[in-house]
Amino acid sequence: MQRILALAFPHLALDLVRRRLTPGRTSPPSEPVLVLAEGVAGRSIVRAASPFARQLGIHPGMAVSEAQVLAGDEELRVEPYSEAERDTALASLARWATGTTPIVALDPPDGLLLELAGLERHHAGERELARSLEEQLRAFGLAVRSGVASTIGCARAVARFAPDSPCVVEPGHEQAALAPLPVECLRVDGDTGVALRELAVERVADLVHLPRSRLTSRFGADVLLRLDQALGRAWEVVRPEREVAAWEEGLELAGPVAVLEGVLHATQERLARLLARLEREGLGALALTVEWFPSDAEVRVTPLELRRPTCDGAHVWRLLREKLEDVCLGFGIERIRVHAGRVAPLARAQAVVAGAEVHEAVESPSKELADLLDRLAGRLGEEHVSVPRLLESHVPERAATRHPSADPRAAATRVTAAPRPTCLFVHPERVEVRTAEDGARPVALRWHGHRFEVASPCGPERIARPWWSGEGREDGRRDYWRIATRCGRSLWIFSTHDGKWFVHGEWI
Amino acid sequence: MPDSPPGKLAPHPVRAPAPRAARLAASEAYAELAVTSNFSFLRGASHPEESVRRAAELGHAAAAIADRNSLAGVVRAHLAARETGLPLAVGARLAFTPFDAEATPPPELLVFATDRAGYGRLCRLLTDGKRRAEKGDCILHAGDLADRTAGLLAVVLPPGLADPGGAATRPTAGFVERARDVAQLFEPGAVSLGAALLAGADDERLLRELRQVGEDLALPLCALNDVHYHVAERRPLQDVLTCVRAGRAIDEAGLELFPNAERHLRSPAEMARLFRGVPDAVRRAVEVAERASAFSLDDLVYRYPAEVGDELASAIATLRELTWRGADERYPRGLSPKVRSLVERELALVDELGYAPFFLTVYDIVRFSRERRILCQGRGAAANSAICYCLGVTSVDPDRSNLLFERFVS
Repeated sequence: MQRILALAFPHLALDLVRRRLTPGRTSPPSEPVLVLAEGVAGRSIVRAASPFARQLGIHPGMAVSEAQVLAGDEELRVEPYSEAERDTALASLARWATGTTPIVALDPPDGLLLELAGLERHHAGERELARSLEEQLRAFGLAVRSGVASTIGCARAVARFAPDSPCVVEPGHEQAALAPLPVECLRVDGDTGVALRELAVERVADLVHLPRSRLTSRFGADVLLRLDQALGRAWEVVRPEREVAAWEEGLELAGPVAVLEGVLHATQERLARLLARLEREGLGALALTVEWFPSDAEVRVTPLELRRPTCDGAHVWRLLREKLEDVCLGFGIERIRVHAGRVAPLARAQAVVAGAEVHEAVESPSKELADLLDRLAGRLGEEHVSVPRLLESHVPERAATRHPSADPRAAATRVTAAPRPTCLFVHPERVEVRTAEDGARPVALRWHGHRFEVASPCGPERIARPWWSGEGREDGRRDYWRIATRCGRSLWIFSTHDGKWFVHGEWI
Repeated sequence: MPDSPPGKLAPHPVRAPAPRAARLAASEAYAELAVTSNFSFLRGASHPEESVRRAAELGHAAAAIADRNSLAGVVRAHLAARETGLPLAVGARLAFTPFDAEATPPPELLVFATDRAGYGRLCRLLTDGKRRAEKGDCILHAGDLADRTAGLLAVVLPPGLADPGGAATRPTAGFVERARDVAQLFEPGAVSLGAALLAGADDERLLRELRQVGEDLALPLCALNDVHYHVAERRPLQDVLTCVRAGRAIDEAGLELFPNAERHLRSPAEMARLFRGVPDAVRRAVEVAERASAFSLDDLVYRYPAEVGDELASAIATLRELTWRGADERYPRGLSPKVRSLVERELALVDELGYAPFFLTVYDIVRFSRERRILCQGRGAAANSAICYCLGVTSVDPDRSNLLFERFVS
């Protein structure tokens, strides 16, 4: 038995703009003539008009120039109309509404549907619930109407068209509630609505009395479907925007709690319960989200990413606590929700049995490394922790790179067999080299003012620069020499095609 | 119908045998044997003719072509070699498949033919290898060479030439053993050990070790450059081909690519400098190339089965005789000047192209059929030949129709 609460925001785009223009979130005492306009095919068309503007006869669909005329001496304020802004606002309202019930669906363009069945505050409290929601939304500066019924069609119809709000329709009384409402409330499209009006079918009551077969043949199956959905003869469910997560633990607090320690304590307890549930199933969490619902503001969401599936409460709490301590509580938190977004099977370490005792499971080194990386990333930020990896490349400075530590890309499988220095300089340093008579073999070099005599040069190893990255011409190649100096250092130097010498690395 | 075409002004480029190219003196210091052309699919980046022309430009003693398990590029190389007057060593680069997952597969071999019989054996070897495998592939085992190496020269390629990531791979004990096994399958003095100095990590050491291996196996060293493109500027194309072969993008291909652009045709002076510690290796390369160029694709004329005579010359004489005799039968009142000149021109063309045995065979078949009263009719393009009319093969009278013999010949 479903009970749907439909919220309708008749002037959502306008209210958003008005909130932006006037500081403070209360409805302004006297507003200018405000319209929202959109450019269509070179003309500006009014998309929404404030109540005062509507009084002057300005309504959506007319050109702005026409509205100017109707405004007369009043100052006409034109703001751009943004569908994207409206959709974003609707989505965040939906998120806010999940504080009341997890099953929230968008009813575009300007409504929400909430599934109330199963809530503790139930039947007799429906009207109260609707009224309190309306109050909170009005406090946000939004005009809102609501309706409660057993079907989606009926609930949204009464939310928009019933004379007073909130309007609660008892189960079984849908037809009576819908009868006096205009036929547009049944979600039929514009053409069908016009066609119905032409036949003097103006109210739902008129529609209900028409023979059903005639309806289908005359207007298509859609009208009948919508009517049946509204009256409860056809089934329609609320499809929630966010899935009801299996792995979550929630807690309703008796009243808003503004003490940080208290909220943290409650969150930790919920986290422990969730991880215990996961552990029983042999799963570990890879992504966790902690949501705190303040009574008067937007939801505080704190995400956490982990590198290995884990159900180690202490480790996770250490990481989470650092982030949660910074969250602003506002007037108080009413509801806590801990949710595991990604889970994966736990990698179990085998317990070691030796003698008569059972030792603790041996911690694999990778677990400790992963824990360390988690902590470092949590403290320093994900982008500041990286891991060197080998790449396949002939060019020595490209044979290794730094990857973000969470990147699971595998390392190169092949490494060049040629000997490479243990220390490769990030930037090759210029040196002066004296060569033997053949012009290639280095005999002595001067580096940082010091003079080195070359004892045994080995080479040249020619490594061509990659031509595809734009930096190498055909003669963009380096001839590398492994040299041992008389004083005992082993250097890796190269010469370019134009005779310049550099030192690129050293065997330490 | 157009006028009858004028007589041939130039000899036919393919059919007319060209004079054998002159041998250059041994003072021309170098000949590259390991030439991979684009007929080694997705490995070589130059056409055979480009490599041959470049070798001529550089003053090599001879050109060579050795594609991977294939002789597909030899014709183009041959034509280019004839054009430039360079001797050509015809061969293939054999890549073996080990019987099982052994540690060391047999080393790759460059195999060149020194005579017609050797060339035939090489062809047969490759045919057997390709028959065993999927289309486009070739499975060769070292044992296939047994008893089939007469008339063939071989160069054992050092390990790691094909594996750029391990370009510093040095000869191992396994390589030495396998090389010994393979070398024993060839005639004495026919095998060399190849050495390529491609600016790898330690060329001096590599050369030293190869010399040692050569002494152990009693094989002379032969200088190579593992040419995959005729000039260094072709390296980007060769890299792209490698990527296509490996199925990887260019910036991910990594060690699949060759590390540098050294696998091009070098001048003799450069090779002499690279191998200055082992000048014999350069001389050996020239020697192998010259021995191999004793065989030329021109040797592959079509040996017509013994007909009314053993030599081409007697075949044409027989044809002439038969033709004039038949002409007298066909034209009892004598040949018109037009027909006479037509017949003479056709006979000259047939002589030049060496088609006389073919006409004789056809004549034989027709005569055989007519004797047994089997209906026999020369059709199609054959009707354009006056000789055929005189021989009785066709019934289209050149006196009455304008015949275009070139149509028949094509």
